[in-house]
Amino acid sequence: MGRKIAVLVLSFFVIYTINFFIPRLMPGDPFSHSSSVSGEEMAGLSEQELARLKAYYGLDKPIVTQFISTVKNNLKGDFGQSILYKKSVAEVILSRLPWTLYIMSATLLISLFLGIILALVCLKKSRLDGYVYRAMSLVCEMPSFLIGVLLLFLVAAQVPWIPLAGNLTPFRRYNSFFELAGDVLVHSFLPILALVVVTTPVFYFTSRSSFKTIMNKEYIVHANAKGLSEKTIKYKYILLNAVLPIIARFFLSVGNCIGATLLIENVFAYPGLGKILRDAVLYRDYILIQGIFLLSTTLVLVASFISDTINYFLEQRIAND
Amino acid sequence: MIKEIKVYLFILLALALIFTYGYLFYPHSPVKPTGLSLERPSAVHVLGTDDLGMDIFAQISRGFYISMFIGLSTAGLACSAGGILGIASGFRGGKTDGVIGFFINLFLSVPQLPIMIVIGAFFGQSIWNVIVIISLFSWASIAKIVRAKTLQIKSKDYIKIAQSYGASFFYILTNHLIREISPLLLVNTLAVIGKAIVQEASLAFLGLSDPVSKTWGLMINKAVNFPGIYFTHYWLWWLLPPLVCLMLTTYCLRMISREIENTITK
Amino acid sequence: MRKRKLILILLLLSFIFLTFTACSGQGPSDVTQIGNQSEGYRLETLKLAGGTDWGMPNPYLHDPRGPGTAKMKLVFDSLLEADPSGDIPWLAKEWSIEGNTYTFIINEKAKFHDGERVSTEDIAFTIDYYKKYPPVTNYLASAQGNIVKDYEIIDDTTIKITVYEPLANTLVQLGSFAVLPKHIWEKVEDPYTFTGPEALIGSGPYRFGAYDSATGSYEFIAFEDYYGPKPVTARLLFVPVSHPVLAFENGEIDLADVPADLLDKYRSDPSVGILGKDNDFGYKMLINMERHPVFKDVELRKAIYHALDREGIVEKVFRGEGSVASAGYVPVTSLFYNERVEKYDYNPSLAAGLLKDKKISVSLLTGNSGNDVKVAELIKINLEEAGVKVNVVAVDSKVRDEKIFAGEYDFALVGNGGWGRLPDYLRTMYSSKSKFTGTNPHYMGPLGYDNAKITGLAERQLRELDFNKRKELLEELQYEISKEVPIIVIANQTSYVMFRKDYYDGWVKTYDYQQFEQNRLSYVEK
Repeated sequence: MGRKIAVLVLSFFVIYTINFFIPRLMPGDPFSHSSSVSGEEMAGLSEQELARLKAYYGLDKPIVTQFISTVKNNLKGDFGQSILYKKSVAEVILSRLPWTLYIMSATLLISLFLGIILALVCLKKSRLDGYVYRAMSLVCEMPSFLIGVLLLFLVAAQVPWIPLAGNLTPFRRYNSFFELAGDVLVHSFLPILALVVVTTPVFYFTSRSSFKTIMNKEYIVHANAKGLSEKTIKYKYILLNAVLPIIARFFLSVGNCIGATLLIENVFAYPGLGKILRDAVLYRDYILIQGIFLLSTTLVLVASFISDTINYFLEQRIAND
Repeated sequence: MIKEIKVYLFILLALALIFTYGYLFYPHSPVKPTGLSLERPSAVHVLGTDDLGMDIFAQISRGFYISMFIGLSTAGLACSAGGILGIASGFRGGKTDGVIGFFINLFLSVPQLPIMIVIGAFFGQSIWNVIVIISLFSWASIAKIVRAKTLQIKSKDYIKIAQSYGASFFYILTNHLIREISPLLLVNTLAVIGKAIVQEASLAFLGLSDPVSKTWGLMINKAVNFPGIYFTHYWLWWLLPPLVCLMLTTYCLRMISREIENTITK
Repeated sequence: MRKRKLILILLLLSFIFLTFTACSGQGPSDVTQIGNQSEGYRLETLKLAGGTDWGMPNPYLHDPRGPGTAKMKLVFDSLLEADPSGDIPWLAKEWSIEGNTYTFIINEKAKFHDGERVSTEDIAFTIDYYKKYPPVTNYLASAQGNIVKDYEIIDDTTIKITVYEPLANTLVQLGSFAVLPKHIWEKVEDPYTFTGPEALIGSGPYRFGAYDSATGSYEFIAFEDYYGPKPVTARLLFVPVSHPVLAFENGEIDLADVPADLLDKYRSDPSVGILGKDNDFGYKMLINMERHPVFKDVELRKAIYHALDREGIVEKVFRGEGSVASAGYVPVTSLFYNERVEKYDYNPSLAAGLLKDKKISVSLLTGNSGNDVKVAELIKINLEEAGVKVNVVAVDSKVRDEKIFAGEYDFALVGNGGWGRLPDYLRTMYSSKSKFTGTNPHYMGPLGYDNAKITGLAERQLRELDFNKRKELLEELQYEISKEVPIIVIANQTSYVMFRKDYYDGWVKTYDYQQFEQNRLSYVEK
């Protein structure tokens, strides 16, 4: 276990370092944006102005010095000032993070639930299982953004009460918590739906295979022989015994889900981390890129650590059997 | 099971044939305007034209080869790297295993897409870079599976006996390991091809793939970004065909890979 | 024992994760609401497409691009404004020019949003403060540092500003900087991190209402004590939309961009008004003659013009909405366009005759946003037909900018807006004396090219204070450019906005700027 944590910390440090140097080595500076969009042009910066801006953000120092001071500041909890948004990185991220977490956790929970239910329902019905299996294989290959685009064309453009974008009705005043919650739900419906479509198969496949493994195990055969009702077998034995691998899978999915969420947010202009990550890269806002990475890496590493730990217990239990 | 594989193989083959025709014998060039802007599908332009007046069917045909090339190269790179490292890690054990294992875990646990975005922007946008980037994030899971399999084979009695007779690593590799691991690699290769095509499309959607090579992902990206496409009929022949082709191809690859996997594990 | 501890840690971790995610259901919303003060204004609300974070609307925190500057200018006034025919009084009700000295008399009724009067002290303070801490867009900057040499406060409303050198654009520069309230900013040490309500107090026609960075929504509220023309709407909103046309149809916004393919549909709708930003956007191709000295030969540069089917680019890429660019650079629809410029038509055989046996092979550097790649592809096809081998290198626009800046290109395609502005931009592109050395390729010219006559004209027009004489000089300059063709000017695009005529139709462009939704004058009574 101690070794696992050491690996975890080392991975974190490797990613942190890569993530510091790569953006800074990219061509392009973060201060002037030439836009190929009419009406978005800006006056060019002169060389003096550029030098002044670089000095202000500390980008004029040697890169190693920058690295050391960044590490020091990060340890103190200071993540710097975003160049693009002209706000502290923590503030920029914190204003978006809840939305991304909301979409992500809702997606994961709903897909988990749906995946397990589907697998359970299909467990004994091999014909239905065949259809569901194929359908799931089809959608699980689809990139989430395509589902999003299709939904935008087929649903949002046709149904007037489903909004096309955003997280809330702008400038609306809410009389009660329920109104607010309703607004949030309506806005997040399509993004979550698109994500659920691509995430459900993951849980379906996992639960299907672990159910099948357990079905073949002796105690189920015993239970069948004892004449326990089918329901009891389904819920008590199978579900309980298959639950750990599924939970392990759940935490392992966090990494993939982050990627899919970032893409989907770009499709529905949902104000989460996806859009600012894309902009931060496009506009070379090194400081913001670092902040987002620090967060998403931590999240994914912790989740995969949990998943590993569960698997570790599983292996031990199997070994004990 | 074998029957199903045949069906999917047949579909893939049919697609390949159609696109070979489109690439080699179809009268319109995929890179030059051969008609008016946004012509509807007709006898002349089977799937119509895009905004620059280039034939869509010709573009999809060429896109098939580019997307397949990306998929195959990525699969080749990822599977050879994953295979070699996985076998090395499993067979040698000790420090080798420690180092390789660390990297396997590292690549498995990082948030892929964000890192791909950053690396993609850093290396610039060419097909080769896209291939390298996607491979970089595909080898680890293969290596993990191969490593586990190698460990399992290694502990088998006949290998232990062979070793005790002084059989070299190379002998065991060619006589035993490869035979047992190759079906596993085949399954993963097929899966990686499909994944690579889809990932390239995702990168293209974010504007991070090679903007000059016309992959299916880029065609979709262009159509989606056409101003006002939601309100016209253009999407029917501009967006839908590459989308359907992308989905069908990856679906077939996926199903073949699944069926082979099922056959092996049975 | 060890096992139990681990389980505990595990439980704790998953608990943290779950609570973290569970709490996120009700995300924070900084959007506040201000009471209804619609009395007396033409409209209660006017809604525009938002969705992008253009920064806080203050001179230090706004995004440097057009929409960011425009929002700042709603809250912060400047000395002058412009209308379709010229400069007009704004914060300064009168002005006069004597040699190096510009005298402004400011409106005595002008107030900041916190009730304090605007005085010449504030103007003087702002000039000094901008010298010390340059704002995002520094109108007072010049190659030597600052255009202002000195100022003298005559009384509460009169200020004399002395500049180093009176140039044709000096008045506009002096008239454009955003005036800061001295009583707030004199205490501010670092304006780049100064936020909060005080940072958003200006003297403009609209007060700052609310701003949500995450969703890119803004609210501006009519300033009831405004000295100038009355604001047209009690509340001005920028709301996030995913698709502007759908949002316009649903009544979510009152002004939207119209894609070219939908123009016919809306032109036939009598309740919808459509306005065009005539040829304001355009593509040009820079030639690096240091790398390819063959193009120092003017005939070969002209041959490139003849090789390009620029009509086709307008038809295909711009969907017919635009025009082939004038070889004199200034678009045909501009007030400053010279009709006598040389014209080069599409003549592939003539081009091939000149170019084919030269065996030229070039790379064409282009960005990858907007229509960049499409235009580059069509240029490649045309040039290859004329016998020039072209390799299109598409990179993201930051990379392109850096390469152009470093001179690492053969041909470079640049697309940008603002072609309809007063064509002083010709100076930084074509004059060898004022070559642009900053970071934005929009204002850069060819490499390895020098022409004394063009440089002379470009510099002279800047020193010509008489508007009509200056216009003549600019026309002559275009003629010389069209004969010399140092840059290959490709095509211009016209984009359109639509609005409901019966709701609000007061959209204006100025003689220098065509972006209706970015002009302050569009939001006040005329």
